Amino acid sequence: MSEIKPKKRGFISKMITDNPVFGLYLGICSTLAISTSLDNAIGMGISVIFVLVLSNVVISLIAPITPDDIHIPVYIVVIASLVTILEMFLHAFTPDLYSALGAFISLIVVNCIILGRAEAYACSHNIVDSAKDGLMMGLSYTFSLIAISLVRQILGTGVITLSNPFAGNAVVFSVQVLPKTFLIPFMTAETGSFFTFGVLAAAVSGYKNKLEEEEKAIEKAQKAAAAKAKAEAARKEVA
Amino acid sequence: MDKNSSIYKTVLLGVVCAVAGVLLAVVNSITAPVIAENEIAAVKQNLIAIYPDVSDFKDISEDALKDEETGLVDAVYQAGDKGYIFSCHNVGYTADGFTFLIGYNNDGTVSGYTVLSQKETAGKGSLAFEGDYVAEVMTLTAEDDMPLISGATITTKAVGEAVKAAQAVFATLQ
Repeated sequence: MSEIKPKKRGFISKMITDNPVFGLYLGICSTLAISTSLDNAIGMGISVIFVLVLSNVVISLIAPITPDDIHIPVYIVVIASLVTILEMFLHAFTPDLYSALGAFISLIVVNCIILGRAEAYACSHNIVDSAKDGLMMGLSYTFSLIAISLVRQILGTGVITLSNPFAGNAVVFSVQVLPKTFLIPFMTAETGSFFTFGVLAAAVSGYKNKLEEEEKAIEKAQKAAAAKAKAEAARKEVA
Repeated sequence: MDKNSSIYKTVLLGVVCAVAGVLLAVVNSITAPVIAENEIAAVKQNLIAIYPDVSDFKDISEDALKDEETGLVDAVYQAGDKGYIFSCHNVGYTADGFTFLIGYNNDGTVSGYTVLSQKETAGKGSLAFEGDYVAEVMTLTAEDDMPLISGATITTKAVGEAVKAAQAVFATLQ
């Protein structure tokens, strides 16, 4: 008899369900605020990946020598320094991105995802795993930012554009997706981010429920199969 | 050493902060000059519009604005040896306010007057940044008050205030 196995979940599926923004509702403030365009989303995403990976690495290194009651101040110093370094580099080399992201660069310090991963993961795992965890979390954060900003940009402006922040925002590509008469301008305003976030979060939660149900069904089938096998064995014994 | 002794904790926090401080200082020393350059580049085209034949603009805001008390002058640029340009802001009729540049030659005559951003009422307050008024301002010197426009008194008064502040700074530079 062939065994019923739960389906192996791929990278993308994991990215959706273990997503810090849609799955854990962490770091929403910055997500809602800066997801106005693809440029901002990618810029912010890369910034967060940079800080998250490095902070996870540094924290996993110093966690063993840090006593419990001062670990928060130590981690905050590490994270704040990394963010400040990032901020200075952005200010110097990508001034347009720097002014577009504004205060949200400094606010990466208090982004729950970063301290959250430091506390929950990096302080008890080795460097390589911590770096991987940071990269994975950062990528999922970027992924959600891109998802929200794509919806907002398409519905709000009708155009998908991507520009190169290192070359004075030279446009890399720009595609008109929606005709101008069908635009919903408020999607680029704050309201739009709440709508988009709500709809996407509901979709993710629906997907998660579906996965859970599937898992339950598989479990049930496995149990039933096991019971059947047992009964058969018992019958054979009796016979 | 005992990990829970307060000496260990103090030293550790101190070391972490010191390392962070050194790192930040190093990065700052790399990025600070680039940032300063970028900032000048952002306003440079406006400065060149006032002094087309000057290429060497210097941001002297820090020294020049040390004793400036009104807070209406945001930046001062030295245009080679020809004169100075002041970047000013004030609030007129709309709460967003406006920013403009006014330049003075070394002999005190106005070398340029350009608006950078304004949202004053079109046709009323906006007149303070348009054709006739700009032409009139260009004939003034660093001693003159800014003329008022009837119907745009609030805006022109606010411009005048900011210009006064710039003139005061200009006086200290000479």
